[in-house]
Amino acid sequence: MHLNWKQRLDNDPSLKNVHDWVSVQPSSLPRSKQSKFVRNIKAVTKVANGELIKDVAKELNVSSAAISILMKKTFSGDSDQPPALTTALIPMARINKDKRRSELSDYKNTKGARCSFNYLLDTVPGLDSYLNDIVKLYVKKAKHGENLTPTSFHDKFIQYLSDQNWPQNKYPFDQVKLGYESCRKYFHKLVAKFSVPKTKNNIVQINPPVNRAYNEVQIDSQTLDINTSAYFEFEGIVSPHRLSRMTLFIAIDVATDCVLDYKLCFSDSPTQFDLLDLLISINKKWKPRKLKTPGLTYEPGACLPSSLGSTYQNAGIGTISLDNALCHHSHTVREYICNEMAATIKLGLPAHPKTRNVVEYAFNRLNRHIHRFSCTTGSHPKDTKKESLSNAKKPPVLTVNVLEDILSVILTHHNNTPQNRLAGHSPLSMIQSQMSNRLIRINHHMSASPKNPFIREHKVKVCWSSKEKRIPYIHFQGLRYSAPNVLDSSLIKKEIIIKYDYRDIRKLEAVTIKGEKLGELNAPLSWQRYKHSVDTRKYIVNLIKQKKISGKDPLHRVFEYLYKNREFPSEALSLVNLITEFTKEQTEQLPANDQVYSSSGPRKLISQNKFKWKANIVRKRESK
Amino acid sequence: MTPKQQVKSASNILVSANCFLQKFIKFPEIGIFHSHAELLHAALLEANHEVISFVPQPFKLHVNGRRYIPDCYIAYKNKHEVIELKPRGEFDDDRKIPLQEMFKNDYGYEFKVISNESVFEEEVKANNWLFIIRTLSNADEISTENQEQDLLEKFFHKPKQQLGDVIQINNRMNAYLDELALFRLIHNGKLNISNEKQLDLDTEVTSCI
Repeated sequence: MHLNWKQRLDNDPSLKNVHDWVSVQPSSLPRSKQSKFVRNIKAVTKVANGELIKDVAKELNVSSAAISILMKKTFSGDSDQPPALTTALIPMARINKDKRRSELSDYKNTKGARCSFNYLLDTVPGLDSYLNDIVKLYVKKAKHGENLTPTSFHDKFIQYLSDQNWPQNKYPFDQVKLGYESCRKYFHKLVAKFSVPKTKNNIVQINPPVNRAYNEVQIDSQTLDINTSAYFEFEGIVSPHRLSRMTLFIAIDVATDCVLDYKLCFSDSPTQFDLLDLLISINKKWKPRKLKTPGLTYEPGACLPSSLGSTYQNAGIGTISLDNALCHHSHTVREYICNEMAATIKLGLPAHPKTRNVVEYAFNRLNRHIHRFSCTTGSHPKDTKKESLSNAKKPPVLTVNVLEDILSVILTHHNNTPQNRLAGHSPLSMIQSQMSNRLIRINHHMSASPKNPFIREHKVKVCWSSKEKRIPYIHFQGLRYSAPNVLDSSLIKKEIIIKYDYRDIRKLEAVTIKGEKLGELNAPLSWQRYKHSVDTRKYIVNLIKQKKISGKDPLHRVFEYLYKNREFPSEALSLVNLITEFTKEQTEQLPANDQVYSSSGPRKLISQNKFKWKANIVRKRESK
Repeated sequence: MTPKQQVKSASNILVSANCFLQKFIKFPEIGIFHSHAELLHAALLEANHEVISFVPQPFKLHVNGRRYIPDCYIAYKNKHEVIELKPRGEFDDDRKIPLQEMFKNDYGYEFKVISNESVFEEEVKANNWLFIIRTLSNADEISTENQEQDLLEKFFHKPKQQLGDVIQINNRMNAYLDELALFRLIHNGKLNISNEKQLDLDTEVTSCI
C-alpha cells in the first residue's frame, strides 16, 4: 500500500526524530550541496514536528511546493519498503532507479537514448532472459556455451531484436553504433554477476584442534627431487651409477608434530606393500642406523617414539589421514588399518592437500635440508637449483646410504627440537608428557597376535600329467610347485588352499579345503636361490616372455640384465631394489605363530652372491 | 528387507567425497561413511543402548526415476528406522514423502531426515565413543569376565569414580584387561561416562546398576 508522508508519520511517529536516522555528515558532500543539504534537514525536521509548510517556506526562503516535494521524497512510498529519509535530503540525489519515461527515439523524433537499453530489456519479450542465458553458459563454460566478447554479445542483441521484428527506425537502429556502449556495459555486468561465486548457506564445520597424541596421524609420500647414486661391485670392479628418483613415506602425529616413522622406497611409484611396511614399523621398535657418513651423528635423545618403550610401540592411533593415492585404496591397507590397528581411515577430498598440512609441512621442512644438494627439478630450465649439465653427465656424489643417514638424522633431530607451537617443548617430550598424563589408547592387539597382511590365500587345483609321470603339482605365478609326499594321488584334480607370504614365494603352505595341513610346496630349484616377492616374480617372468633374459637360472639372469642396463637410472634403481629384496633378512615382522614363513631356509645362499652394491662413497674414498 | 551389509556402490565415491572408514561393534565390518557427520552419527548409535545394530548405506532404491541410497538403517529393540543425514535437515519432499510411505506401508520402518548440525552438537560424545569403540573393536577374543566382576564390585562400594582411578596410567601394559573390562561395561550400559568434555583420566564414571 502506498503511504503519503503524513500517513507514514502517523504510522511511525519515531521517524519525526531526525537524530535517529542514518547520519550523513554535510562535510562529506561536495561543497556546492552542503548548504542545501543542511537547509533540507531543517525544513523536514520542522514540518515533521508540526510546523506549517508555508511558515517553514517563509523562514527558509524556499517555495512551499519545494518543501512538499521534499517531504514526499523523504517519507512517502510503499508501506512494505522503508522510507528514503536522509538519502532524500541530499540535493539532486536519485532515489528511484533511472527509468525512461518518454517514448523511444526514432529517425523522426530524436529524443536521446538515455535509459533506452533498460527500456528494451523491460519491454521486448524474452530479451533479458536470452541475454542472461547466453552469458551464463559462457561464464560457466557449459557444453553449449559460446565464447563471448562485447562485440559478439552486441551482435546477438541486434540479431534477437531483428528476429522479433523490432522497428528498424527505433532505438537502437537509429543510433550510429546501434547501442554498442550500453550493450558492452551490460555484458560486463552480467559476466561479473555470474562469475562471483554464490555464498553457500552451509554452516562451515570447524573441527576442534587435535590435542591428544596419536589421535590423528597423517601419512603421505613424496618423490624426492634429489640426485643419488649407488656403487656396484662386480668381479672386483666398483663403479658408481646414477639412480632415478625415490619415494619417501612419512607418518607424523598431528597433535605433537612428532615423526612416528618413515620409509624410503626404491621406486618412484610406491605400492600398498610399501605403505604396509610403514604401518607395521610404526608399532615396531625403532633402531638407530649405524651412521657411516663422517660428520653425521644423532643428537642425544633424538629418536622415533617407538624406541621409547613398549607403551609407545602399542599406542593406538585414532584416525589415519591419507590422500587418494591408488596404493592407499588397497583392501589390504584398509583391512590392516581398520581391523588390526582399529583406527579410522580418513581419505579426504581430492586435491585438498591443506587438510593434511602437518605432513605436507614435514616434507617442506625436510626439503629445506635436502635442497642443499642439486635438485632433479627446478622452476625453469635455467634454475640454479638444478644440477649443471656438466655434473649431470657424472654420477652424483650423494649416495643412497648417505641419503638414508641424512633422513634418519634430520627426522629424529626434528623430534628432539623444541617448537613454539608446542610451548617450547619438543615433539618427543610432548608425546612423553601426554603418554604419562593423558588417556592415550593402547592397542594390545599389536603386541599379541596381529594378522600378517602379507600372508595370502588362494584356491588352486592339483595337477598331474600321465605322460610325464611325475609327482602331482600345482601352478602358481607361472611355475610348478611340488614336494615329495605332500600331494598324493587322491588330491589330483581336486582343489586345495595354498598360503604364502607375498614377499617370499619360494615356499607355499598347502592345506586341504577342510583345513588339514598337507605340508610345504617348493618352487623349482632355479627359483629357490633368493627370496623374492610376487611382484618380482611377475617382473622376471615378463622379461623371460619378452626373451630379454633366459629362463635358466632366472634370478641370476635378471641381475645380469639389470647390471648391463645400469647406465639407465631407472634400471640402476631397480637393481638396488632387487638386491635389497634378495639380501633382506626375513624380518621379525612375521608372526611367531606362522612357522611356515618365519623359517626361511636358503638364506645362507645370500653369501654366495657375487653381486654387491656399496653405496657408501665416503668409505671407498677413505680406503683408497 | 533387513540389510546385513553396505551396498557395493558405497565405495564408488571413495575418491570423490570426504570419506571415513571405520569398524564398529554394532556393525562389525569396515563401514564406509560418506561424511564426518555420518561417522559421528554411527558413533552415537553405538552409545545408544536401545540400538541393536545398524548398517550404513543399506539399500539401493529408485525414487521418482532417481537412484537413491539412504545413509543408515537402524534396528532398535522394538522398531526399525531408515535415516538420511542432510545439512539443516533439508530433503526434497518429492523423495521424502514416497520414501516415508514405502518404508511404512511395505516394511513397517520409519524414515527420518536428521540434520548434520544436530549430530555435530553431540560431537564430544561421539568422539568419546569412537575412542571406546576403537579400544574394543579388535579385542573381541579377549575374555574379561573376572575383571568386569571386580570392577562392578568396586563401583558398588563407590558408585562415582574417575577413569584415572581405574586405569593404572603407569602400568597400562600389564593392567590392560582392567581397562578393557571398564570400556566393555561402559559399552554394555552397566557404567556411564560423563560426555561434557573429551574422554580423559578425569572423566567421571558412574554405576548404572
